[in-house]
Amino acid sequence: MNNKIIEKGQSLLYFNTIIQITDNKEVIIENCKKIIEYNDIFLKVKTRNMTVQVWGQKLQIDDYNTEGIIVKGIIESIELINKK
Amino acid sequence: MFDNIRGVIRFRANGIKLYSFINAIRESRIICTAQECKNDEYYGEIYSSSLKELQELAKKYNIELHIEDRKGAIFKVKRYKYRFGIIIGALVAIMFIVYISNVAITIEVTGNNKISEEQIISTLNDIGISKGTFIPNINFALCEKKLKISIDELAWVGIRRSGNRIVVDVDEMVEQPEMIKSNLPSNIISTKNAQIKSVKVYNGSLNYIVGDGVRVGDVLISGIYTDSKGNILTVNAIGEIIGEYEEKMIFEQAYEEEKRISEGEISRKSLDFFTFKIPLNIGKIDLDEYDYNEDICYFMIAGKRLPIGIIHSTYTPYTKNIITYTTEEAEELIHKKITMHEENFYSNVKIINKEINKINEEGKIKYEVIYTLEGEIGKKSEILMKK
Repeated sequence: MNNKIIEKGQSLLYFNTIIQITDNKEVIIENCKKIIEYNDIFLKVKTRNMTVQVWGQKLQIDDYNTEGIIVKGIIESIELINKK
Repeated sequence: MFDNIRGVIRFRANGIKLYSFINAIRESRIICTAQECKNDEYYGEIYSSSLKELQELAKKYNIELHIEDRKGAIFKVKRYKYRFGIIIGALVAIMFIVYISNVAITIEVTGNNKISEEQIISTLNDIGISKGTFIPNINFALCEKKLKISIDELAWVGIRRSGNRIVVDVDEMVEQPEMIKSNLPSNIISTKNAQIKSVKVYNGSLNYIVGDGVRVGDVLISGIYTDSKGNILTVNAIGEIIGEYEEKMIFEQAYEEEKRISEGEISRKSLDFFTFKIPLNIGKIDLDEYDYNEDICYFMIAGKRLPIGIIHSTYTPYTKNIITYTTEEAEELIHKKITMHEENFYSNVKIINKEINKINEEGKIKYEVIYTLEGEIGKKSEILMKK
């Protein structure tokens, strides 16, 4: 019951992690909290309720100061790791 | 485009607390694009206004910060901020453009047929509108009134601005046609002391017949006649009276005459800049007597004449010399004068005889020419009556 209320609240307040993938060229990760690791083939970011790992080549980040990041490059895989 | 105006700085950062620095940039809400991490070095692009904040963060996290590149017009402009010449030049150029867009470059006159454009433009100059006049200073309504008062033949005047042009629309007055009264009573009187050679009477009564001699002022065809009932009536006398008469003319030619002799030409150029005349040649022309001729070549852009041009001035200095003629030369000149007189004044009459008397006087030759001519001697003369 409590989980349901929390989920509903997060959805209403837009606290959910929203990931938008465009082809294999761009990934927009919203509600991004912290960059944990980052190089040109790997990116690990912490969001509100999970950790997102992006694998690829020539990875680049654009940050337009909107609580989100735009990852550009050749995206190979995206891994979503739930918070324990 | 806005990035180019604001200025973008590409930086490189390395250090132990690199991820803390990256996250600090995010938390500080610094807009950072094109972020890359290669070989433990972090690259990114920020706006020039965020540089100071970035430097403070780098200092806080012991990060070595290197500026790789500066992109944008702002950096180019900053480079020239102490070049006062460029700034002054730019300001002068802006002021010049503002001035140019507010001065009259051309004056166009439309709607004129009888009154010449030159006359209207000359009057406008007197009123205060000429090429180079600052347009906002012109009081169009007042100038319209002044122009209309200055030129009587104008019925309506409209002056307006069209960009850099001053357009003057005019309407000319339509003259009232002259009323010709064909039935006005009149006589035909003689203008010469002559002998009548032929007559043609279309209206009125003839007072003289062919062969009669008449004096100046004699009524040749009368417009007054009495009908069979004794009533005095008046008509407009119409007719053609040809008479033979004499005319005496005297032509003279002095043996010595003062004549102007030109001594070459001196050309000078000057720049016409909004009616200001700027000389392009060094040196002053000091001449006593000369003829002056001026020709202006205006610069053109896309078929439009600019108020800037080159004035070509030509000075023709001359001296006055006394020329002495021989008798033959003087006679030749006098014959030329006689021929010219006949061409000008006797083209409508027939020269029956020409008698030339040569009179020699001191210092000049004199010809007395007595012409016997045949031509129209009648002239219309109105009969004035009490109403």
